[in-house]
Amino acid sequence: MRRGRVMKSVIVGVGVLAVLVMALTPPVFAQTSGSDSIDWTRVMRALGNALNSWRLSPFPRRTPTPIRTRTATVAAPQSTPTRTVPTPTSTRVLTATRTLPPATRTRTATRTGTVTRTPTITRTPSLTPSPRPTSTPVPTTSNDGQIAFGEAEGIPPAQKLASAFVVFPYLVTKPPFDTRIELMNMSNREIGLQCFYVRESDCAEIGFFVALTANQPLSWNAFDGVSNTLTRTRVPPLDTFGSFAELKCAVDTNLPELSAQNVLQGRAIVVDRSNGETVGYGAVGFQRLSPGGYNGVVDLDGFTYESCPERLHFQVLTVGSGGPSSSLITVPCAQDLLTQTPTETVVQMQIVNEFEQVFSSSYRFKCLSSQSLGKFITLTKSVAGGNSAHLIIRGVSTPLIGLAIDRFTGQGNTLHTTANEPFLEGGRPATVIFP
Amino acid sequence: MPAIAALLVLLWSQGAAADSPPQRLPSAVLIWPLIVVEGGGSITDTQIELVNLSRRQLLLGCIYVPSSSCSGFDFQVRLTPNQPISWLASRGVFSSMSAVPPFNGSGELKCFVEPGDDESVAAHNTIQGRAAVFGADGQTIGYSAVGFLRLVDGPLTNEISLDGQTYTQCPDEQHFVFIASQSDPPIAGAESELVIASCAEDLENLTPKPTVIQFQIFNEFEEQFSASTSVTCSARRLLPQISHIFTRAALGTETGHVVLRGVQQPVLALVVDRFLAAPGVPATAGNEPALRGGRSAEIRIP
Repeated sequence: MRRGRVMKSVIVGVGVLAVLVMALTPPVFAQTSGSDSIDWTRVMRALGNALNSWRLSPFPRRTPTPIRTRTATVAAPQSTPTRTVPTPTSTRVLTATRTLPPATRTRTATRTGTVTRTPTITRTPSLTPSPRPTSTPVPTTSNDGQIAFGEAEGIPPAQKLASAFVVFPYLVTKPPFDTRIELMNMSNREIGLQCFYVRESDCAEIGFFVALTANQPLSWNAFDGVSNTLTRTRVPPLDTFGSFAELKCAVDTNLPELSAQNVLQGRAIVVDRSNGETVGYGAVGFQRLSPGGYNGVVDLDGFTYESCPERLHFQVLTVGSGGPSSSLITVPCAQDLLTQTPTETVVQMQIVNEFEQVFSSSYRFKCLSSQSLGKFITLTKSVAGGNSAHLIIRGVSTPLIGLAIDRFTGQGNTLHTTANEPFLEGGRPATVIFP
Repeated sequence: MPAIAALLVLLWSQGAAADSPPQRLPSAVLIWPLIVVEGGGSITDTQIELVNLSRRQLLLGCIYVPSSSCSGFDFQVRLTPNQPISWLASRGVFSSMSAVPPFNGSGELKCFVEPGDDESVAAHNTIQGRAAVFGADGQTIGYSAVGFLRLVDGPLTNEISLDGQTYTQCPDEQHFVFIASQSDPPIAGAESELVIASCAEDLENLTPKPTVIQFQIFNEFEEQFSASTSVTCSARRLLPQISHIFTRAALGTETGHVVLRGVQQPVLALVVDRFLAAPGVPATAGNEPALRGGRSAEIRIP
């Protein structure tokens, strides 16, 4: 570095001397003007011009400075949108980043355009933790007449596929009712399940283990339970534990591969033995998304397992005066059975009738809830103005799993009962912790 | 909604080579495999429900396909944003926006979203539906329509490719837990039933193709059996009529696991569980399958 500076100084000095010699030599125009004196103004101007034309600045570090300054000023406004990431609008983009690596790359490419801002690329990793759409469920008032329901974000769990975690939201064993529970191993290997009944009265649980051989179906009546010493399976009876409960089962395996985890499906039939009315429904299934062994914590976050649905859509029958009333069953998606902390939430309901008129209603519950739709005046035929309504529900503090039970009269005023499983929209994280 | 649709599209376009169609999501094509009207609705009728899950105005093309003729008759339904609509199949519905003709007999119903100027995926994947088949005897079969997601932007053409590229594929295997018939010979009203509808259908040229359905059956002791039947267009069969393996005496256990697969082309199936809740008290419930794998098929509409 030092030798370079010396060389540059020498060159500059030689240049200055050359200019001075040229300037001191009487130029043609000086001879023609007839003047013998030195025009120092011209000499200095010539020297300046020479220095300028050589571009040998004595301050070499200055050269990049203007470029850098310009880059900074140009880049500043571009960085503003990237900083708006934490706002709810951009959270959606982050969610996309999780599942869509190309989207992340597009962003990075935009930044690399401002070459000097290479360090800002380090922001990309900082986006990684935020895909957990924790902030998604913030209730918003949209501008198109929807009440307390903004855009649903995230991805709901795909249903009717082989799953790693299943939830039965509605089990009744109070006579004359009983519930037939069915489980099915959809794989060619033996699997183990860890299951928990959670009763409605106080959120208490009882756990048990079930083993299923390859492709084995297993069913039992919840009132009686089942025992099989060959497969080391014993399901306790629900008769004395609680008459209204839910059931959660997780595939319990140390094999990390997804093909060993996503192997389970189930359904239940709640039957009234006095008149044969049935409510048959498929368990809500969650697929495992990332490889890993089971450890008792079911992280329904959209990474480890599919996330919980953000909203449930039902098409329900409105309640006529004096007619049977349908019911709505709701269960919190998040549950901590380890510390026995009951999950409590408000359920917001939005009701759209056949004329696109919108109503809302809400209720609060803990553990497990069964609500008669007749108690909501907006779901009566006289208010809704039609035979059916579009009911959208969401939990405020935790996402929900739900099921409607349709009750209506048919030919000759016969009473009909059937399960009405929801359509799912959006995704929201929740965690189920087993003891 | 558009963001979700885009995510779904990418998810499914990346791994849709042999994937089952995910259910209970806003879809672009819906198939109800079981519509029944008997005695003009006085014996058996079907309540059909359809809901717009979007904030868009929708136009749907729908087609009833009676299993007796395998030829369809179609109609259009308009839905305002978030609008639910329901009708009794025996009566249909007539309004300023939609005209659904009455139906008689047994068959299936297919509906497709016809997007307007906006041909994006989000404009396609907007509907869901279900049905409740109910009889004068008090028996009710409730089930959800099978939904297929649109995966790419574009218009609705008369060739609906359920190929994993344009729409999600048909399921390859369908898994059911079934209740074996309680007695041999079976008791009337206590025999479960299998409903099959074709996933591929040419309703333009009216060329129904028969397909063989293969069944793989496991009892609770992991013992394995097989059976088969043949179906053209759509069909309803009592399980003991397909094979005596579905009876408790032959199966050896109360519950079985049946894996069903169409050989020549994929099919859609629904089991109607029928059993005795108590002596002399029959009970009925719809039993929707768990899906595994995917297979391509095409529906051609007129």
